[in-house]
Amino acid sequence: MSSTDSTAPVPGRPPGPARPAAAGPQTAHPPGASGAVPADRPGARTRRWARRRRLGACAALMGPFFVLLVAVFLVPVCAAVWLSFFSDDQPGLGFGPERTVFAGLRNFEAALTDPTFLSGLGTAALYCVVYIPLMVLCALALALLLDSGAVRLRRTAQLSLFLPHAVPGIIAAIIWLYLYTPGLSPVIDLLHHADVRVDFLGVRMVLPSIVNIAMWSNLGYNVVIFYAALQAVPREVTEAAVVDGAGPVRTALSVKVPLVRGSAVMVTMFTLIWSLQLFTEPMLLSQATPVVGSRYTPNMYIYDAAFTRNNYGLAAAASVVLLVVTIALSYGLSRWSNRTADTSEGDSGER
Amino acid sequence: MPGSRTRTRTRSTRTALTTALALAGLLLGTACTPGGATAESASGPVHLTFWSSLRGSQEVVDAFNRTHDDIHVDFEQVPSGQQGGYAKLSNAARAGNAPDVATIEYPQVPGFAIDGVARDLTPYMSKRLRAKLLPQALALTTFEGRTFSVPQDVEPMVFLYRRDLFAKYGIEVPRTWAEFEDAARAVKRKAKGKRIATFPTDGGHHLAGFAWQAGARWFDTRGGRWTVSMTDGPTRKVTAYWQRLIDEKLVFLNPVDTQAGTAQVGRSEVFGKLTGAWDAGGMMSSQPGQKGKWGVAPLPQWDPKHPRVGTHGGSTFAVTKDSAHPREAMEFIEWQVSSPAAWRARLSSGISSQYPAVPALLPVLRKAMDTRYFAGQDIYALFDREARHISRRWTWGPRMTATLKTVQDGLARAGDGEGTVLGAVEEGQRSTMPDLKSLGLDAREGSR
Amino acid sequence: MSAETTERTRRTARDRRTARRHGRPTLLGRGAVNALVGLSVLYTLLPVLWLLLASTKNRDALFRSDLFSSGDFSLARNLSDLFAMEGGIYGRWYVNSLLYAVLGAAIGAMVSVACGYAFDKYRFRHKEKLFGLVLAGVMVPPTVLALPLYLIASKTGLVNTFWSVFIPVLFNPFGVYLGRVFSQGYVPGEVLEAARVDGAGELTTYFRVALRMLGPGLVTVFLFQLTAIWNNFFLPMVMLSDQSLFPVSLGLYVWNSSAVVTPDYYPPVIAGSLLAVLPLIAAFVLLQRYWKSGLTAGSVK
Repeated sequence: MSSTDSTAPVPGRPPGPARPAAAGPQTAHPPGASGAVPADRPGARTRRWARRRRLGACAALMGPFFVLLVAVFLVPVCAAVWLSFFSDDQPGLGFGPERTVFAGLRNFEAALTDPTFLSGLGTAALYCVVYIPLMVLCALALALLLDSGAVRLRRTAQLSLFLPHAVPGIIAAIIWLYLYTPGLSPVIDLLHHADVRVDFLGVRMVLPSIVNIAMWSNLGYNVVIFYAALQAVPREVTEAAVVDGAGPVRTALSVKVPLVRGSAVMVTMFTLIWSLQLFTEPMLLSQATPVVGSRYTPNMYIYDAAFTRNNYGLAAAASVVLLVVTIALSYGLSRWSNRTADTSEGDSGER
Repeated sequence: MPGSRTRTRTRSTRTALTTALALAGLLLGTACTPGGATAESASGPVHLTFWSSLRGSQEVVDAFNRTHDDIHVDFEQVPSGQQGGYAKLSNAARAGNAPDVATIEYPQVPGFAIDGVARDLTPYMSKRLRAKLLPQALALTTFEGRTFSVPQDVEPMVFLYRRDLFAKYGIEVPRTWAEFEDAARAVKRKAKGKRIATFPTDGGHHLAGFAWQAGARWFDTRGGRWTVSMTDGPTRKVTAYWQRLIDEKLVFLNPVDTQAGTAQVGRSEVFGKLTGAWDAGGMMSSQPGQKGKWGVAPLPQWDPKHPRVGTHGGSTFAVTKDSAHPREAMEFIEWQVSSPAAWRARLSSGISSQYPAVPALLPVLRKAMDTRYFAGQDIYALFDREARHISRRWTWGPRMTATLKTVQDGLARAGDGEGTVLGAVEEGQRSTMPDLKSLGLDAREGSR
Repeated sequence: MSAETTERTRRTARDRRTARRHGRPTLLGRGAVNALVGLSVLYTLLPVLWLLLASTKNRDALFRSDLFSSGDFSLARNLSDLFAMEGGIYGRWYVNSLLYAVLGAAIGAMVSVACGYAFDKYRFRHKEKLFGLVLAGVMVPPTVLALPLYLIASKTGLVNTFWSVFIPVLFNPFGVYLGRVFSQGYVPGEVLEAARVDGAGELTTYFRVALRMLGPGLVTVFLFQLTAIWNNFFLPMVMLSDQSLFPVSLGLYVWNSSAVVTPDYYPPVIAGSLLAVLPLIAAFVLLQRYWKSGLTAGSVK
């Protein structure tokens, strides 16, 4: 979600894989029937022929996507795992001929004992801790404000908030980098007049500066998701609260917020996945400030390992570590949210 | 998930997947192109490709092609190493289309040799060429008795200083580091807002050069293994020295290879610059207005009775493993580094004060140098003396770009008031070890 | 989901307008609410406005940061400089970006929606497991795949070619998910039945009948994929070393690294950023209805 690199736009998506398939008229059929669609004409041969034709069509429609899935998803994932266990070894000083050997966990050990990789993970963790709650709270608050009925020009406001999402991540980073650069930035100028001196690219400010870029890029996007979820809250529920004498703030916090819990989990999850991939913004800032080193985040570490150090085994191992951390955290998050949802009765969802 | 696929009995799935796999195979397979660097026809000259970021390379290649019928060199200007030139070379080597001849700086030679990009040139190098090269330069490209690239220039560190400023404030040009510290205090006291020099926060190479001079051995290959000791005694002496100067604000602390760094020199805020010999020419082109005001002095010494220096800068030429014509490539390299015609061609493209790895060529360079910038000083005589003081204890490590970058990240933090010079070197060592281990090298940390 | 959901959303929205009359915030509260939203809008709009103003300034005015002085309006000059810089390579980058993004998103959206449609309308064993695999593709960020993709590409000789960037960006598992949702919502089973009774072939039915109904969904998937590809930075950075193959994002990144040393690069980077932003902003403003429905389909339960 953190803008830049996704080939999939990944707006909110329900956590469980099986869910979207549950609805729809087409699936109301006895389970286990291998074969195609409804149509029950008499005549077994015709039926078999029709089924075969349909399966052919199905394969033709799915084929291209699965070619891509294999070529640019499954094969690379397997390649990364494979590579992380192997190494082109050069014994001794390393000037002899190299041979590919099974390296076991050596690459993992190297990555996990590398202080720069660990500090990259630390940076990513710190970034998540600051960014994710801030993003979820701000986006939810803004969506509630928009939903409160008190806002003028709601559509325009929504569109304006969404606008930065149309700005490519690298360009968002460029804009903000220049707004952080003394001499170029009217912001720093203004602060200067107010006798406030901030080095946005200094050791202490650089992480908040990066968080700000990500906030700016993705805030409106998440507002739209929350807003859409709020719009779907049944009116009887809010009405009942109003009848009970709840003010707008209480209605929002105690009635509406629990009802958009599902969306909040999704927003959190995707923000988390993309936060761990942090790359574009720090990569750009690293051109301007030495405080952002070449291995500032795990993804920058991977890039550096592969393309500065030509150490593909190490880069692959770091990729696998990052992938495992990402999957573990998002799995844990969805498990946790399911468990708490089961115990709380306020959840609206048809799960 | 894979299990469910293999056991599936459904045709459509299987068809889809078979098609997918087949197409993926097609996709990946068809694009296979044979590697190899050069095309060759049965008759006519051998074609070589040559990548370099060095200025004047086109002129050198043109001169070579004019005088050689049997070999034709195709030149491609590439970005300098740190600007992506090295990544480009590694990528090309991996994809099997590396050039025949590539330009590599000294610190990167072991890395490219270990990666199998640079070929062992020992069988192709003539005795004649070996004899001509400065031994210290050749030693930096030779490992386990095998030479992996041929030095083109070697750059002893010197002290470029402002004659006018030292004279104006009545300060002696320092000859030892102790004198340098005294002079630094004098400059700070007498010249408001000026300093004797800048300690570069982007200067991993500078710091390595200082440590080298002091007798450090960051990387040691004796015993057939890499011993890494970036915080050995001599290095600690050097880092403590600079930390003191930094803490007492006797030197500026900022990047030098930036516009701001150049502007700092332009505004006459520094009395001098500690750098490689080549940078005398760099000064001539970047500060033409300061003509006649500069001089060159030897790098301050720890022990003037036993003068030693390290280097900063310098390039070498390697033949890649993919090259189909290593013999011809070597001929081109030998001509390039050791013939007066090649150097004359290079110098025709602009000012240069490189110190050639073949010292016999000194007269050619001396003739081309306009010494008025240095008030008539024979700077090459000084370079020649200093080059022979280059310490032989030094070896560059297997992942020098990354090591020096980490050191620089640490120096940058120190520049922001978080961390020390020694901390930067320690960080450099700590982050280098996992790299070497995962490459399967026999590497260990040395004693301090 | 889908059809009912959209319908329900529309209905509730209408009903809630009436409901709101009862629970309206006080005047003071409304002022505060509007002020907060207004501030947020300023926060999102001002940087874009800065980009717009800055692109009309020459280098010196830029560094004086007096953006509102009308004295030197150098937009035309900046643009002509931009397209003259380094032999006009920016135009090349722009065309590349258009090729990667428009062509990639068009093909990618077709492929994904077709697959999503098949997931919705056909039944076969282990379908949901296969669909789970697709969703796994959504969960795995493409940056993790970039390095192994690079290694595969360099083994196959595809590295540093148009295809090395173009093929991976076609992969859009989220588009499959959206395609399935849209297919459920927009393409009633009866229509397909009718077509089958008429003896139309399966693929003919898809291309003649279903695809037309899926139109809005297709546009949504296209739009999101267009944005994603236009934003793409990591993959081209890994794959490409030939500047003439760069997309705008990577080109501007390289120029920006020069700007840090040579300030002459600032105006072209700023003007180039502005031009690179325009098509997407235009697309989003013009196609509001589509992307909103896409987000809704993805998020509303």
